[in-house]
Amino acid sequence: MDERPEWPRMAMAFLALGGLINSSYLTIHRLRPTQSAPLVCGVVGNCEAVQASKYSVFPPTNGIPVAYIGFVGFLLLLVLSVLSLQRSQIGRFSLPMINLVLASGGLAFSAYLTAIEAWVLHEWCQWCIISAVVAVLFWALAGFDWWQARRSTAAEQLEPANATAV
Amino acid sequence: MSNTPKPRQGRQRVREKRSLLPFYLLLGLGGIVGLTFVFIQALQAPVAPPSASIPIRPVINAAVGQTSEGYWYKGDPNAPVKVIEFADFECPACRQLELDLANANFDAEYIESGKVQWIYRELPLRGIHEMAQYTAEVSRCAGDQGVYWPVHMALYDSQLQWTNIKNSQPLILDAAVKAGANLGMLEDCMDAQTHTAAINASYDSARSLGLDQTPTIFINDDRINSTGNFYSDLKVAIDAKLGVTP
Repeated sequence: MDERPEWPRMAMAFLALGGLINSSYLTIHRLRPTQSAPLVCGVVGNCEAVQASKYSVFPPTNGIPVAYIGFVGFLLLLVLSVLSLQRSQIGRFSLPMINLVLASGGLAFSAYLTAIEAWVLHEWCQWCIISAVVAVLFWALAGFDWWQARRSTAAEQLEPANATAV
Repeated sequence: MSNTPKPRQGRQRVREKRSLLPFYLLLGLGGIVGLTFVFIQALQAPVAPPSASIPIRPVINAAVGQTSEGYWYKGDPNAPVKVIEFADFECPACRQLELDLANANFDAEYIESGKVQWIYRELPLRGIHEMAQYTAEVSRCAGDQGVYWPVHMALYDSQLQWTNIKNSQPLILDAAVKAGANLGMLEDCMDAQTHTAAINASYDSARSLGLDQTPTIFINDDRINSTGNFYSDLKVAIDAKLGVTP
């Protein structure tokens, strides 16, 4: 029986939801360019500048808008976090492991985008920063949950051995 | 209710179901509230009219020239109000300001009437705008041919066509040619990097003033801190300097 604590997975679901809402805001802006004719260009917290740059799509210049990638990614993480409260496997694969692998991918992508903001654009977008913080926290929780799951599996495997010893 | 203890597994299952229900409710509520908020926010913003174009005035009936530092100006140098704009041809906010100025017939009302001298200083935000430096240099090259202001307006007008695309140089040059520049002379001027140093100096000078955003506007040395529409704040400030009551 899987006895690991539920709170990390609950927190992961809330984080993924936050990331989803955040990225849906950017996705709508991308789909429906508005006259949010930016007030200024170049100021810190300049999302318009970051969104208008060639790095707002991946791969740069001719790729998929990163807002869409974020939307799909967080939606997937949300579904998987909720699912992992109900079951621990999908087919042959352990859900905590899937979560951790996807979260690591998300973390790496966030690191890439943050590096672009810091060293290439010298511009910061508050929505991208929120997304990066969510990615870091989600990864930490997914790592903790995976570790807990591994520990409980190891304990289960030990139990029969102990029983025979006693 | 019976006091008989239930089997352990059954009791656990009941506890799990109970403990997850508030979580699902809270998660669902958070999702509904968050997404509704996002949709309302996003749908409230008006969609930009794609055809909003900036009319190009071939002639400005006022003094036009370059300051001692090389910056292009329009309007009487002795006008009571001096506006200095730090801007970038690839900045959408600068384009919006240019559009608002044109729609309000600003040149006729303030420049040609001798009330305002407008000085344009280049602050190309090269980090985010790939063609910022190039367009600034094109405008200066057009200035050498005596068509600075028409090309200035044409660059802003055509911004939506050449920003964020590959190989945009021909489109930029084409816009300048349509506004009256000679293509051969323009290309020679750009190839010779005639104004590269001047634009670099303009950039450095703006940065040394601590400026990092465009448009930044000074009216008689007072910086306009706009919080809403740049043009309306600008007009209010100019009228105040002119002693005009709205």
